[in-house]
Amino acid sequence: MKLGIINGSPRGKKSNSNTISDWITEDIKKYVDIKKVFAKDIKNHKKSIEDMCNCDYILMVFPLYTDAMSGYTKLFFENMERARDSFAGNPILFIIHSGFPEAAHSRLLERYCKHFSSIVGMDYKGCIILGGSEAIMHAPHQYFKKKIEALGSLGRKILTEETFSKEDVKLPGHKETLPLLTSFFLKTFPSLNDIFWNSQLKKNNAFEQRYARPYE
Amino acid sequence: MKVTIVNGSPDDKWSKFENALDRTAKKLSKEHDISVFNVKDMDISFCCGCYSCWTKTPGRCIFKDDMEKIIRSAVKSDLLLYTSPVITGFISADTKKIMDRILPCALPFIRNFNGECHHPSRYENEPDLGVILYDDGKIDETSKGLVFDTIDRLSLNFHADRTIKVTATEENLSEVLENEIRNY
Repeated sequence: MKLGIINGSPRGKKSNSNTISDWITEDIKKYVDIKKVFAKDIKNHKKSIEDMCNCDYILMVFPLYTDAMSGYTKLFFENMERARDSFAGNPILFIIHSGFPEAAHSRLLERYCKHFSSIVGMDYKGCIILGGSEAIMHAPHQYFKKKIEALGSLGRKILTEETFSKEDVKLPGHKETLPLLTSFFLKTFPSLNDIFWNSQLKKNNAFEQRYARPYE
Repeated sequence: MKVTIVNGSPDDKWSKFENALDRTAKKLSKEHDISVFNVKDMDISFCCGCYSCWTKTPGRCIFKDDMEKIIRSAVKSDLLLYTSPVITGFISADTKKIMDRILPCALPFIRNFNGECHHPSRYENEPDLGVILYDDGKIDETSKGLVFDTIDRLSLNFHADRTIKVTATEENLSEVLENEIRNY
């Protein structure tokens, strides 16, 4: 099987999308021929799309970006539509991840993925939503052990071209909406949540300017 | 009333809409402060997701390009209105690029707004949001619904009180825009 991976992250190779796709393909990479392309690489979209047309199965991984896909990913979708005849009937699976803990933010984008598949005539295999993904870049990977195992298991299902059910797409720790306890803590102790961002600001000597309004 | 209009039509195929938009904006400028930005004529990079605007130079993007002009206008506006054709079932990539680059107007911190996580606004003024989709006779209901629902979601993240969500043909764009601004 030739597996095409479209990385839709504006961060390209240094992205959480890249780590997630590596976790998915960890167990199956011995059995499939993987071709990875990047939506960020605009100059090579034509070549990337030719490469994807030649694949048996496409896995598209990208972050939620201001309530939809990023501009880069949208451009890639547009260019895929231009080659729709070459994609017709091919299976496609989407992985959407976001820094927000709740999946609810990404449901609209999930609807778009299904719509896009029908526009290009592809065989929609499902959409997996992963919350809290910004931590992937900053926390040790053993922290994500259960998620890595679950994604590896999903990857093995790619080999059999299964359509993913609603249960499959609920990864360990899946939260559709904000849990009551988290909601309570965010309301009661909002500054606890600022620790990570404040540490980044301090590291960059920018903490004092954190509320700057340069364009007012 | 101050209105920032971001036109995300990517090429000359949509020039009739663009001309109608410019004509109407000029007419409305007699009563309102209207700024129109045609993205395809501007030097604006895609957001690269570096978070410099949150963690290194708060409020300022790492790219020094024409996006500054849009942000300067938007943060002082009552309404930020996107106009876009529907391409591949959604707003154009050029329009989405601008939505992405608005990120410096939000703070990195997460707060609980009505039971959902959202970012607080960096600026005190939070413009309302709107979209006018160019109706070339080919817009399907699914695409339209997706765009309109996205504007609703964006309004939560950018704390807009009201939204405008309409379609317009090249013939009635002037009328639609005038009505929306005058009845605002």
